[in-house]
Amino acid sequence: MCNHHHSGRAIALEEGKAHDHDHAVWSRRDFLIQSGLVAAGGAMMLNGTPVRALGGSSLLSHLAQLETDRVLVLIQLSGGNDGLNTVVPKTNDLYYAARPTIAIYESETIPLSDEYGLNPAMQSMKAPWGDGNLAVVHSVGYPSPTLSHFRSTDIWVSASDSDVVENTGWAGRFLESKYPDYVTNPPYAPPAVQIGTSVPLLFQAGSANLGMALTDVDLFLEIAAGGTPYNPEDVPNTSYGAELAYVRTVANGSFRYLDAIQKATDAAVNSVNYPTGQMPDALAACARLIKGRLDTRIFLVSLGGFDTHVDQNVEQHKLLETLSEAVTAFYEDLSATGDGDRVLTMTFSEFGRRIAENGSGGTDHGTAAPLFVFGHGVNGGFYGDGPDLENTTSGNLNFSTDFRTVYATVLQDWFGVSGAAVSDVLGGTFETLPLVTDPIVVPAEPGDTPYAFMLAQNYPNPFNPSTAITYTLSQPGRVSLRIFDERGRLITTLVDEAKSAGTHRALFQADNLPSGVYIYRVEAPDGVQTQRMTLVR
Amino acid sequence: MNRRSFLGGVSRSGEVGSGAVGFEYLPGIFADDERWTNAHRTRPKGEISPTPSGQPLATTAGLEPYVPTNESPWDRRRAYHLLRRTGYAADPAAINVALSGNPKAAVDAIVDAALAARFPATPDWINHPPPPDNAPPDEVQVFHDLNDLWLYETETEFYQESLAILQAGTGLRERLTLFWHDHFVTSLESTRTAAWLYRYWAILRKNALGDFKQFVHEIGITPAMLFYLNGDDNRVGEPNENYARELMELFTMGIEGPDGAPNYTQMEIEELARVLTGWSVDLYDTLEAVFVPEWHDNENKTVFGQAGNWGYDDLTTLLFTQRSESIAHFIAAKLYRFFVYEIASSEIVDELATLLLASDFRIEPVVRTLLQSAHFFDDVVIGARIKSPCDLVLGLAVEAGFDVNPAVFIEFRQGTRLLGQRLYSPPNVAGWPGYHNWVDESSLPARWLHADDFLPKQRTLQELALAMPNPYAIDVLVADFVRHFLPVQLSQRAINSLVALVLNGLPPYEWNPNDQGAEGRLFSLVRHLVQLPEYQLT
Repeated sequence: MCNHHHSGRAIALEEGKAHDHDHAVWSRRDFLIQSGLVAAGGAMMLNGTPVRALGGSSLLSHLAQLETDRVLVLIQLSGGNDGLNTVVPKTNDLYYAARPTIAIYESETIPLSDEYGLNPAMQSMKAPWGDGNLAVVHSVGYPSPTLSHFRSTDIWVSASDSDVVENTGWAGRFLESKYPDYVTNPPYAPPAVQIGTSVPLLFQAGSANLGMALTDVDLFLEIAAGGTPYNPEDVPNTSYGAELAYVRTVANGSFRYLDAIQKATDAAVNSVNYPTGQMPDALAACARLIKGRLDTRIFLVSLGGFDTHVDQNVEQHKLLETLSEAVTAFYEDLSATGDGDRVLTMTFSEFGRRIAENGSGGTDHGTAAPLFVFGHGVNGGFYGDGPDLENTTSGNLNFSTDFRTVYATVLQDWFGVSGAAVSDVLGGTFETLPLVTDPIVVPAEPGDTPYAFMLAQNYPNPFNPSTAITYTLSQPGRVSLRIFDERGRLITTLVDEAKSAGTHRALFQADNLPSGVYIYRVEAPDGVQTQRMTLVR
Repeated sequence: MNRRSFLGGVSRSGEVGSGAVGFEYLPGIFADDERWTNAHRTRPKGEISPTPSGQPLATTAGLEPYVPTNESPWDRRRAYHLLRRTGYAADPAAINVALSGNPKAAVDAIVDAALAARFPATPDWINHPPPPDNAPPDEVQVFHDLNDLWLYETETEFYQESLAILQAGTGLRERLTLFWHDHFVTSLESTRTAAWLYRYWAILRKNALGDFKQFVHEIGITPAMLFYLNGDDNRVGEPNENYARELMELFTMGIEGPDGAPNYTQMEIEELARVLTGWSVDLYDTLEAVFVPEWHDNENKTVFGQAGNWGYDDLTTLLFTQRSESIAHFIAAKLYRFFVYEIASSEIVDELATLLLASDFRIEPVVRTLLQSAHFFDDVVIGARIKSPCDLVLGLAVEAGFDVNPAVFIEFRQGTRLLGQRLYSPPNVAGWPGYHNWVDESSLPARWLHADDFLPKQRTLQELALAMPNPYAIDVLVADFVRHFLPVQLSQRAINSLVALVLNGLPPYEWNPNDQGAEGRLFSLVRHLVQLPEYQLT
């Protein structure tokens, strides 16, 4: 049904195929328009125009029901964090040769293993590493890397291939799947919150941007204190000021999330001191919102200044110290209320830096780099292959772990998104890393696994006296496999128990049975299938 | 059979214009207003009295020509003001052109271009014969389908003409056409036939800056108006006073004159209705208005004390000789509210009314004088108008530097509908209530939603940046973007925050507007700008 009303057909006549595209693009807004009409009592048709006309596949709508109170905090290390001086290959001669003035001596590093040590600025990470609450994923990157800050950031947040310009973010697509009717029926709390930063694409989905942006911590504190984003009192003493006051008042009244934010901040305080700085302040704000049980799945904070072309050791030291101490404080704070277990924190940066130092005591834009995953829910340790300084490309490291592998891990094991839906969000299938201690096991859904329900022909067939019967389940559940003779009399029950999704095999021994045709039949949550086999004595 | 419904086809749907959306998010940027600057803060306190909403502008500037001074220079801010109020918005090139001469020349260029603008070729289809009553259903269906197409073309023509300001600088005429649509209201719901809509719109367009008396004459006997206000039912012996009443109350003079005295009595409405009897529409052949002498009341009528066997051709003489003062004030006030501020200044309106009388109700000299006046360019005028949905939707497109193409016109029509200004469908004969009614807790998030939806699809912000004076210096560029999108400049501190927003942790030297990722950063900036309450003002 075309919802373009009087001119819908006109577009079709005039623009042919373009109309279908317009239709998809506009059905959401038509819905909005019509929802006004519905409220007025008119009956409007929506058949054929799903609310989510723009994004994702049908699979996505199925995973929305997975409830978890787990939270992901993303810390963007903006500017391109130098990986080699963060997780130092402390015994690698090539490293020391490439960086005669800025390499970090083995003796200074915080030892993680025989080969690697942390930057000395990260003293406070000793304990999490020892407790198994810190994972280091080596050499994360993507094929055909770009050295542009903006472009590479866009690739990281959109999870696209480097030659694809994607206008939505991986987190936005994930959240849209959790809130498929976000536009028409937004939740009480924002699905995502970013404090003190703006990464344009990250929370952008096809239908809307699902991120609430608090561009500075002061605004958060103002709202937490019961204030509003815009002050209608403090306007110029003119007609312009009067009209501005009017619009500001309306704007304040339009912010659905003020109430949720205020309730959450009323319910919680920070119980530790954070280091000074915008990023620690932002993390403190996140902690307060998480402890106050704001129903928000993803938070984003940003730490800028990693573009260390000059005086890297001074600049990066300060930044890594801030990062480590802020994250340590963050988990102490969360643990005070038992919330530490449900919060996973992950860093990302648009790229690492050149292997060789430059002439200014710094490093230039590079490629692959390690990232950190913090939290009580982390299997601490190393993942992926460490940086290979021998086989390089134009003086840059090759990646060993695709960044989307980390996203897939977080989505599937931390948030419990089914494998097929993860592939949908990421636009491809990626392995997962075993870095979540307590992964949510996703119940399989129809069409949601690589398996299709099937009862295969037995082998061998004909047989004497034994044969194997193979069947595949798309979902786990109680299964029975029974053998009948040609007249339908039950001969035996081979299987009658719960089985997992996947392929299973049962042996049938026909020792005392006469020659003839037998029927075998499997019953499972997927349905019922029957096959015939022939016993030839 | 109802021939009009037959021609117009079954109503495809009722539609509402306002988007009752629940979509909300917090774009919040700066909490306290100390961080904002405004152009007025240097005005010494006490010099002007508090000006709450609902008060006229506090300025002593009148209709005397605006002469730039150090205090009110002819600068980018005022050039944007002129171009926004006459053409929704401006691209940087148009600002440069305006600033290359003096403000008088800039206004003359805009008004002259509107006067000289060629009219779009009248489409052949307005003479397409409608199917007869006994036509086979297929033929009727084909007509309805064509009618849909023509309605769409009519709307598209509006967008093309409106945005002619970009190419030919002629957009003022169509902007005024929309103003007159909001004045001489008809609704598509009452006609649904493209030929009638087109003829009605052509009258608005032709007279937009022309002779108001001629305008009044023509509008009353166009089929759309004859149907909308029941002129086609107004016959001898059974007069229908609907049009006569609205003609006086809403289209010309208002209920009361400038002195507060009533302009007419109920008896005069009834008498005027009798003057207007006899008009109908040929529903079978030409679809034109026709005068049917036997339906006209051929007796004497007394209107405004003037007795005679008046007919339609006497209408404007009666109105404009007997109620010229009232009409001049009524129309002057409406023009003032459109170009300057919702709450009219009675002194300026008096002067404009005098001008209108002196020009024998020609609109163009009044508009030109108003636009060239010190009053129009006064500080207090800038930014004091609340944007209509067309202002917002078309303005955003111009500001973002969109590519003119049919897909964008679809964005326009859907966007303006979502925000509550569906073309050809004002809510009632009084037009869109406008002003504060445009912005409320559901339409404001819808405005944000529109910008969120529209901007990423355009991907033109890098081009816009490169058209700015210094796109490589991010702090300068941000300030220029603020000036480009908002009627007031923000404080340096606010600009610094926006710079930080764009850079997102990078050092300023890493900024390059040609970088592939720059589009997203600029979107992030513009998204914040257009979500600011300031953006709702123009």
